[in-house]
Amino acid sequence: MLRKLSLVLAGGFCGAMTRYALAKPLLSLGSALAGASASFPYDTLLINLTGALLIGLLYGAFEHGAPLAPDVRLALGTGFLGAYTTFSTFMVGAATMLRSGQALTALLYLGGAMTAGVALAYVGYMLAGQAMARQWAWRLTVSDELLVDGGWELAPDEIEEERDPLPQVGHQTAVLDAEGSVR
Amino acid sequence: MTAMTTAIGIGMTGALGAATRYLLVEWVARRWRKPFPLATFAINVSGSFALGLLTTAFAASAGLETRLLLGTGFLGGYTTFSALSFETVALARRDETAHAWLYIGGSVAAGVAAALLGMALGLAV
Repeated sequence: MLRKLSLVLAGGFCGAMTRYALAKPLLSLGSALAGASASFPYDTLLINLTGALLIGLLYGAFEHGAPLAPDVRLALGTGFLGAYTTFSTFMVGAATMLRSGQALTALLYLGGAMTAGVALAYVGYMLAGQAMARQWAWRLTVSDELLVDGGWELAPDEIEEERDPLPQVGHQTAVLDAEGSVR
Repeated sequence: MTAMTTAIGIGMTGALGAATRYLLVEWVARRWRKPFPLATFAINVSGSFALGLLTTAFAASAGLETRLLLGTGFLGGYTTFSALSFETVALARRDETAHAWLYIGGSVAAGVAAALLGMALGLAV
């Protein structure tokens, strides 16, 4: 418990500092790209959207069997990305727009950022799944070559072990890929 | 505060915010078995209320350090946009579409309402 908590603390420390450090450059970048309206919270928007893409990639890699320790998920996902992104600043930003009579901008900000966040998390998740499937397809090809020429002098049960650690999800996709495109 | 001590201070309070969120999520997970991500929802709405309160109650320049350490640091680390986005994807992938819509719609609606309430309360005190 204490070890898990320190992982979240370490990740959270880096995440909050990164958000603070990136705020000014992202605000100028957003204002420059969009032209005028320097009062719009481009910093919070860009931080939240990049964080949503990154969490999709990270958790997608985990779910598709990336050989990463659960500690990495805790430190990078719960700690770093959790603290890097922020919901409270997003909400107070929209509330400030509402209070100053910019109701349409506020509604576009709320709907747009939330839709884009979910979409980017999904894109990240799918990209990580595809990358992991390519990984497993490559590993299967390698172990098939071992079976064919036997040049590595592995006993059959040792070769089987090469295939064993494949996870359920990654395995099925990988077999299809290996038959379809790799071979 | 110099720029460096401000950044380190925000890192430290941000770490505390993230740890508070982690402990709350774990505590709720042992008691709440339904698919709706209640812990993140409650964290995000309560954090929005607190930041609204902080923004107006400490609006003066003398309140800048408080706003940075408690707002940018603690509440920024406590609330999270990435978990909300990914949990919505996870709900949709498990065919919990109604819960997914309820979760993003509810988080945003309750979050803005809480922020407005906090800002109004901060002006009153």
